[in-house]
Amino acid sequence: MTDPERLVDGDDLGAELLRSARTLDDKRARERKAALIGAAATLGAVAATKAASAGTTKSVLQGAFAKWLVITIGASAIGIGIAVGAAEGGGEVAVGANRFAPALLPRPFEVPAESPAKTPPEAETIAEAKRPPSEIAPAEPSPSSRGKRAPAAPAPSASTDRAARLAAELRALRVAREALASGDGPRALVALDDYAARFPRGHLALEAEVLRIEALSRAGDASAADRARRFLEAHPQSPYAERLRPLAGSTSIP
Amino acid sequence: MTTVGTTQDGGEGVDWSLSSPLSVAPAPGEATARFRAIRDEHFEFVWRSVRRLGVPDADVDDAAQQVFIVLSRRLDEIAAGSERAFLFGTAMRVAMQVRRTMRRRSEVSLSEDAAAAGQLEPPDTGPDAEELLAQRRARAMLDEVLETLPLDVRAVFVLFELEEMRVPEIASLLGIPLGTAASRLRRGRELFQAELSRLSARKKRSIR
Repeated sequence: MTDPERLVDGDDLGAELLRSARTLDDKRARERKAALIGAAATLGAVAATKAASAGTTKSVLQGAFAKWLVITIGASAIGIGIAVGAAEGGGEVAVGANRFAPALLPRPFEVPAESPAKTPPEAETIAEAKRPPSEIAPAEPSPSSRGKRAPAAPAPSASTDRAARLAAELRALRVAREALASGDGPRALVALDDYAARFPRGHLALEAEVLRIEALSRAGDASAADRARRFLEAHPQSPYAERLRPLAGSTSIP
Repeated sequence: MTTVGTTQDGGEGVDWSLSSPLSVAPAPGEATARFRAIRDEHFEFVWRSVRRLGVPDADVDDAAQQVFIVLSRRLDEIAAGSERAFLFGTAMRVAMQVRRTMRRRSEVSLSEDAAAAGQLEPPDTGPDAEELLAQRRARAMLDEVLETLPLDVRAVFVLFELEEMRVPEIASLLGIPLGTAASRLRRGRELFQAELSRLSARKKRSIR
């Protein structure tokens, strides 16, 4: 069978749009891959280690995945990736970090023929399904709600799992990140205090610290450099190191 | 949980991260290695695909990740060689769900969102800014046109026109008969041209 000629090879408006989109998408996809996976490649294997201790292939995978996954959360705002070492063999962590997790629930499309259709039902059951509706789609804040504090952490019922908690942490940090991205250092600091108060032993405390250093620095607070130095001493190999080095001042930092 | 004092040397296994005492990198299992290989090879394809299937630019990262979450959960079931097909099928489902969520979230149509995003682009400076702006406007317009295609038709259309796959490849990727792929493509092209003419006419009118 002979394929028709591609519209994209033509010389009309449609071809122009298609060509332009092709170029733009290719470029963006490359950039996003570098941003999401490139950074993740340097991450520690904490998640995978934990998952491995849980002993199943699946959890190993999810652990390995989680550390790549979550890096994206902050990348778009100010380029700080978030790494979650909280997989602990629980896929729900990874899923909980994603706004579109519910996408998995309905299966309106047949899976391509090559992939077996005999998926065990639990493969499609994700933690989101068990959550109260308000947790199911941690929606992007609407323009009007942007900048407000994140909603209170979910009540920790027995089965309120790590995923829900992590999602709440992510939302809390997102508020800070957005404030910072919009140049509002003080509001970012308020949000970070809020985060620290709600999650004193949060999974994302390290990321919160990075954000705090940036916010302090933005606000011209002299303690930013000290904190940055301490962070760099403790985590010289951190993917955040590159970001923080300029904030630590000119003293020799590894 | 967070231990700011944990420091090790080493390469990829460095525990820079959140929890402390797990310092030794495990030898990555076979499955992990496979996952990574698939991710690295197909990430851009997946990203482009969800974008082209109608996920707004700002949500593409999340949607692409979602596809890989599914991959990680079902890796065992995916035969070697069918990874791309699996990923694209998953991308279609995720894209559809995202679009549904977006619609619920806002009454503003996706294409208007996209158009607005193109128009509200900040007046960046630099030699490439104008080019980029033009590209984004064009992208928004294309989104608007593609938005009128049913998803299954759209899938074939974008695979053919933008991924430049051949029709038999597309049929195989989607697990549909060749004739179906060909007819979806035909329909996609008709709809595309028709909507484009309509849109161009409307824009001309609005300029006048």
